Amino acid sequence: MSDLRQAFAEALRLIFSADSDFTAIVFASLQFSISSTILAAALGIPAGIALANARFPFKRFVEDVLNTLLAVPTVVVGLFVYTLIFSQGPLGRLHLLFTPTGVVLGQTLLIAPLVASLSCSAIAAVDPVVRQTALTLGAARFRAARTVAAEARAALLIVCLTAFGRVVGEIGISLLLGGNILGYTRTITTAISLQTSRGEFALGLALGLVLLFIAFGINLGMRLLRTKS
Amino acid sequence: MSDTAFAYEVRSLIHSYNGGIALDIPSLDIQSGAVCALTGPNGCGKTTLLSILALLLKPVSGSVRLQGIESAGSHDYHLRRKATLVHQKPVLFSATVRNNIEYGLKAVGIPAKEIRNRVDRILGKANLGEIAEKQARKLSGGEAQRVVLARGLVLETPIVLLDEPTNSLDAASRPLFYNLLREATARGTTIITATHDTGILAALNPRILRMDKGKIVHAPGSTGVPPNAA
Repeated sequence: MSDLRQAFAEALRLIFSADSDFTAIVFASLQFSISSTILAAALGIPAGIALANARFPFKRFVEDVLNTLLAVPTVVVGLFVYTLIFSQGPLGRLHLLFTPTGVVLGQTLLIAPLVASLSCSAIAAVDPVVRQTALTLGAARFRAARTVAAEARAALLIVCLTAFGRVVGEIGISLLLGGNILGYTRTITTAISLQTSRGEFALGLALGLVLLFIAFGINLGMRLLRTKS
Repeated sequence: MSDTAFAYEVRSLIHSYNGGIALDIPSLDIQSGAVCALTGPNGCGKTTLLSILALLLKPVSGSVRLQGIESAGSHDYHLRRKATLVHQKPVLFSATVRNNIEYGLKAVGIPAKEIRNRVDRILGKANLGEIAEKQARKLSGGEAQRVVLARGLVLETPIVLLDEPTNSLDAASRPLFYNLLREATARGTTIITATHDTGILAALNPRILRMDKGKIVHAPGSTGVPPNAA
């Protein structure tokens, strides 16, 4: 019990003293997560909008495939990207393995289907009269789609927050593709895993508290957006 | 406004929902500049017909010629720009009243100065000047209805389709709206409205097309062109 108390006290000291290892790890985590969320949003939101507006024979099948991808474990996505970027892989020449770019690539692939699927649902939830109104007022299809997306902007922001929440807490991709290199690719989750295996709980606890704080911030943001919308 | 004799020529129009026939109109001609009122019980097909005439809904079969041009379906936005449908449900975009009214004018590429002039004019006529900068989503039902009507009429399209346009309007606002419609008919605009409002019928003296169970059951031969039309 006193060990746990000591670990907590040390964790708080690390947070409030802005320990250099601690800040480097948090900064790397946020940098990777924000980058992959932005990239996934750039890919997934237009895809979701297009899917919501499109009418084609296998639309349901495509939606089912997207929903299946949501359930794929992070290590599987990590393994898939690993086979692409390891030295003998098709993208091996780019030397992306154990680099921040490799981690961001994997994380983007993890959450892009999530963003596309949730964006599609967000757009489909907008009153269909909005699109019809835009069309009858003279908008071409692209402008009408943009108008519908603007009406769903709060929901789309919630999608981005959800994706960020998923990616900031993942470990499989960061570990496989980043290699857990301190000051370079070590993230909150990989650091927690390493510190725990070493029996050094203080830094792990401090990083866990940061994750909790991030999760709380995400939930608060989503609640505010829901209230606003 | 238009040099073609007919705003609409509808032939062998069939539309169905879930296998049930919603619309079955063998033939319907509406002259350019005519004012027509679609009447009939709820669910008789008025809204479906208006959606098809607005080229927002593709019928199961049959043809719709708009100002002499056969509609190629709902992708034909150039042809769709000849007609504006004001929906029964006053749906406004999340923007100010002014932005909502400007929307269509921007979409069709009207120059900025002309947009300002037209919007200011319609805001005055629809008595919306005081709420022009207000967020549209915060309006009352009656105000929202006035905005959607102004947003539709400001485009000055050759054809205006209205679905129960006065449902949410209070008694005081209705004469204002009737005047806007009279002005539009004077410009030669073709107006087709689904309505139960006797005030519109009295104000515009339209050709009445009575519908029942997806069919037009009574369509007197009158052209529906008001005597004051240009």
